[in-house]
Amino acid sequence: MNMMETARVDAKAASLNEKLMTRIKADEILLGIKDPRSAKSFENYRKTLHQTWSRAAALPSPAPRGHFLREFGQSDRDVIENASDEASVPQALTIMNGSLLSQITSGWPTFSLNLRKAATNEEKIDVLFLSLYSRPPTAKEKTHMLQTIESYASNKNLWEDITLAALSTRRFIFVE
Amino acid sequence: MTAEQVWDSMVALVSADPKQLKWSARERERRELNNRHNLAKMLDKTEPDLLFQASKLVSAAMKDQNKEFDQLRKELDVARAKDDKEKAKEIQRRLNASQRILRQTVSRCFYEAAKKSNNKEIQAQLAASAGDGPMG
Repeated sequence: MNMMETARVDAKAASLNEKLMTRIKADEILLGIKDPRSAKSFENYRKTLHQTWSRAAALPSPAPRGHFLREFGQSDRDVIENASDEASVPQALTIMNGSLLSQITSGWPTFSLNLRKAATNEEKIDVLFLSLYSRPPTAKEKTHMLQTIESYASNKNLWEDITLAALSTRRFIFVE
Repeated sequence: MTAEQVWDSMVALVSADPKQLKWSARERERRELNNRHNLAKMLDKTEPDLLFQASKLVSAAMKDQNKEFDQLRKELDVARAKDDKEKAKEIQRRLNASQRILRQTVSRCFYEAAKKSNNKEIQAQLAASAGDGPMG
């Protein structure tokens, strides 16, 4: 009887438009997803992504306590001009241990797919710089990165670690 | 850079369509508002004495719920003082459930009032709203 019950929305049950489905199918091929169960999981991932990963303007304001936005200085709107751009220890801990950042470096986000599309390490470095810093790497940076990659070639989480390191730099935070 | 700018940069790294609206939350809000609008329209047309009876039932239910709520709060304080995490968790769950039950009770009281109405328009609206869904 409760009228509120009918308001529930199941994002997984929503139908996707043709353009988005074509893109998902192409990404499934790129990821090597063949069995229907994994394909369904990937499709559901894409359908529900917007529930967490929507632009700040589309999220409730203020975000709940503990949300990335609040940790990084979003105003609690209790008083005016209450936002903060001061660095803090919780911010560093969020970057190092937060689950959101591990979602960026996991297998299915757009950034990871773009890294996968790049065939060589040089191309991957270009993708990394363009995605994170909106510019290509300088020759010096590229040489340094290639040396680093070579020395850690046996590391299975190489690109996850590099991405996390790149995200943790001031270069990502500041608009150049 | 503001928190919102950092966040939006990260959204662009994860989502294939960063400009996609949080459509499921908006759709839920739209449905909720629609439901409330429909309920309000029905209540406007329901006979005042039926609404009065429903209000009295709601009042009684709220008194009972407040008593239960106070009792649970006391039990929660005791459980926390004893550092009994399992017990505190269980009481918290019951507190949340009692809030939900109260909301449902309020809805039910007014829904039942509307069902007793002699207004045919209301009966038609109730029948149309119910469909195969949980209002039936």
